[in-house]
Amino acid sequence: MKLFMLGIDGLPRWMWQQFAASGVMPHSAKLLQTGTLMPMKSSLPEVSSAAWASIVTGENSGGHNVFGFTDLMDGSYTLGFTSSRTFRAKPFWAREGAGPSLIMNVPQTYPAQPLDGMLVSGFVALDLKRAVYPSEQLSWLQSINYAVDADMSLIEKGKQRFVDELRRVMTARCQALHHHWDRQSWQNIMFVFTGTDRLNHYLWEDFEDSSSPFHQTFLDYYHEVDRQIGYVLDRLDDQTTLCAVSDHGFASQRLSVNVNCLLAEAGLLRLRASDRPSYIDMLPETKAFAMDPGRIYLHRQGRYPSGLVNADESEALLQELTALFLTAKVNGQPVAAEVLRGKDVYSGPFAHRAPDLIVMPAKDVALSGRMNLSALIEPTAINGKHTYEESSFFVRGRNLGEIPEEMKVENVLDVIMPAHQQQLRKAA
Amino acid sequence: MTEQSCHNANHTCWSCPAVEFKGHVDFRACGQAAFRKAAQGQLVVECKRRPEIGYFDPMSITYESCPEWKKTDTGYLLQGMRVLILGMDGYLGWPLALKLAKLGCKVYGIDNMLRRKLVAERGAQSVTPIQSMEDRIAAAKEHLGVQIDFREIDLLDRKALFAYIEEVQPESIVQFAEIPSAPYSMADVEKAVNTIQNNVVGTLGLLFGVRDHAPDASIIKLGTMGEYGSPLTGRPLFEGLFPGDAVLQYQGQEWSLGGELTPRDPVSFYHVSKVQGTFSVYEACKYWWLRSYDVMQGVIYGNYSEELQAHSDLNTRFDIDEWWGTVVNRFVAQAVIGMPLTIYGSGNQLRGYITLRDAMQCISRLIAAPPEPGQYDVVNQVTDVFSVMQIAKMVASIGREFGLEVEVQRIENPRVEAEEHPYEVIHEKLSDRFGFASESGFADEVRHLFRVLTQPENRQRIIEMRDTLFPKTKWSGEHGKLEVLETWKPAA
Repeated sequence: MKLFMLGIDGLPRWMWQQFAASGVMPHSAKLLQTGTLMPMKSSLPEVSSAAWASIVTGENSGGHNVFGFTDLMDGSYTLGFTSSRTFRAKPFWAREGAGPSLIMNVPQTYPAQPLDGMLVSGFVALDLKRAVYPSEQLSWLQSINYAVDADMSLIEKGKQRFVDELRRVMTARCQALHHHWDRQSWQNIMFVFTGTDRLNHYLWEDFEDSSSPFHQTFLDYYHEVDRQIGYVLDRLDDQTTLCAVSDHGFASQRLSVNVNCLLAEAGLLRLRASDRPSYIDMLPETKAFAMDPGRIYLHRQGRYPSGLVNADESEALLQELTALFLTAKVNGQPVAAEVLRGKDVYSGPFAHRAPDLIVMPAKDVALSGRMNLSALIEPTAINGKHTYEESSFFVRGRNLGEIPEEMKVENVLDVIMPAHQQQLRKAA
Repeated sequence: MTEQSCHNANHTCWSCPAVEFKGHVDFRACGQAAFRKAAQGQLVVECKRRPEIGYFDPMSITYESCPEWKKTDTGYLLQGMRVLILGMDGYLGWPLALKLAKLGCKVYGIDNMLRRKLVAERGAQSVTPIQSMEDRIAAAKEHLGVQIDFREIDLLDRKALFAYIEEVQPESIVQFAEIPSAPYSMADVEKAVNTIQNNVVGTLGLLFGVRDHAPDASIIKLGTMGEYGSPLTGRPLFEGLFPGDAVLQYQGQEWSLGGELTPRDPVSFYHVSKVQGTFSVYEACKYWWLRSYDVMQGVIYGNYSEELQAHSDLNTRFDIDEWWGTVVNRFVAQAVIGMPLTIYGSGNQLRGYITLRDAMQCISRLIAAPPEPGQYDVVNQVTDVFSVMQIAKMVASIGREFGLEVEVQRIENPRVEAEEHPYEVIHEKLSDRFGFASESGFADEVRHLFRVLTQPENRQRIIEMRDTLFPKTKWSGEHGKLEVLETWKPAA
């Protein structure tokens, strides 16, 4: 095998080191001694769909067309969910000469597209039947009750029930990995643990509070992840490049702020009356709107059916919006840490579809872009949020490329398959 | 095209039956949960007609902005919407099939042809001759250029029904397949049981079939204003559910009644079956996220629709006998053959009425604007409230335009009902939310009936069943002829 890429969704670099050192993740402790662990920067914004797309293509969102989990379909107000169909750059396993690949649970790969090998899509994938390629592998996965993802609604039944579900899903997923690993010789395997991200979202407060009854539950889950990592490590030989990455870091979340409410309060977003408002309810006088988590789009003439913002007024509007977010406070707490310009962040053939601004949230704040404007502060059981900084990048192997000083998700392929990446760049 | 026709322009894919619910996602937690439509977060759907657009937010496409919905005179309508009419051979089912087919729907229907049999057993017949279903469908193709698919299936034959639902994949289902007669249900135990069995068990079975084979279809369930009864307190007959600000006061305390089902007080075992149907549908919407409009229809009359006029082979059935006819239709028939119009008791009983033509418009509009998943709603499908006495006088007056001397006769009331009562019907939803505007008034519709029924061949058919027009069925279970109380000729 040439490459094993292990994904651990939402595992911060510092926490991995901490758990390795403290004995929560003993296999990781051994692993980390055999290669290089670096903090890595996520995508902008720091959402899993965009970040994983960057990791597997070597492009930023302007190159692969995934800017978030949602996007408006061109020339309309239809809020579509990004998928393998809207994902426009080739992942490494689909490139010429990639060889047989086993790809399991990588977000943003649904519905499963044909490849040389086998693929089981990751989140968002609501129908297992369309998440599996080739389809003849479906029945075996069904026979072990394979689930694309844990049913997150179980959090309503309590944290223990939720964690039990995460464990059930992980057990089946790992069983599937080894079953298919054994079936044939693979050139590439990519496997992503996603339960870690779900755990962090709902039990971060328990991780931070060592007196919480679920503190140990949190640690035990990571211990189990580590045990599974151990099984993988036992099967790898020295010839295989091993890359272990996470797509973003994690931190506490105490406030979820709906950015569209801020825009509406400032008179920049206006909706017609609707029981279930969505983007199609925006009135023409709307100047700007947000999509999850903090993507800001000017309501531009020509880009949106009833948009009226023209090029002449856009710069002043961007400045007004930047000032608005940087000065906004909710419950006395700043909302934004930084506001970035889309044109400074993205490059590539889809950069014209990028948001105009990216609002980076302040400490303890998460941002959302819902069109339901009923609550500026959204009630939620989520207490952990993604961070742009401090995702994990670990690599060991031969013929590696140079690791940039400021490692980003789109640099992963540059490091683990430098020759191939250089060829692609030359061809481009 | 009027503004009224755009009433559903801003409805979204969430209520479109061509959309399949795929799950619910909370992107803030990268979490997904399938098959829980009630869950919080972002709904995720897929369009069965446009799968190429992938998963999307159903609230972000309106009918107006969707290429699958086309503007028609009854609002935006899903192109080629597959509508399954249960009871397609009936008085309402057949004209609805023609209307929907002309509007561009793909119409499918079932019927067990029971109505024809029961009317014949009574010694009655449709005044306007009707063709076999095979010939009706051929006539629809010939004269209207529409294709209608029909299977002779009994609603109670669940195996056949479910297979047909599975095959058709209807986007709307109209439940007309019920035995629609109060006096029939009161005649004897067999008929009462037959009514309950067909209507109650049939509807219940249907709901399971929809749940399992076409869960996104809207169910248009025909109820009746008779479910409410006529409360002596004068409490308005709200549209099935109490309005949001309704309050119950009792012993110094107050409770909100908003959204609760209003009381039902059925007036025959037939009406009992309709009430049971209402509860079954209401519960199915709650348990299984089915969606339904329950139509509390007033007493229907007339036989005019644009499509029915195309050719006599397209006639819908027109019954006038005690069991299967309705009051206005029977009065016109009685007037045509010189038989006194029979009024039960005082004749001051107030009821809601609607013409066949208006009822077809209402049902079409309901089909065009389906409820959201899990939504149960009720409309009172009524345009006018009249007393029976008023109707008799109006029919007599119009009859004179046709040279008929019409008498009115009060007879002993065979029913157990209040003869003097207040009656305030709330009927706002169809006009306010569905763009309904009446196209036919009482006088014009009755004139049309006189024109049709005074045709010699039709008049002859009425004469042949004269004996079936005078009521015989007593709610009390007693037998014997009903006493005539008085007969007179209304003043011009």
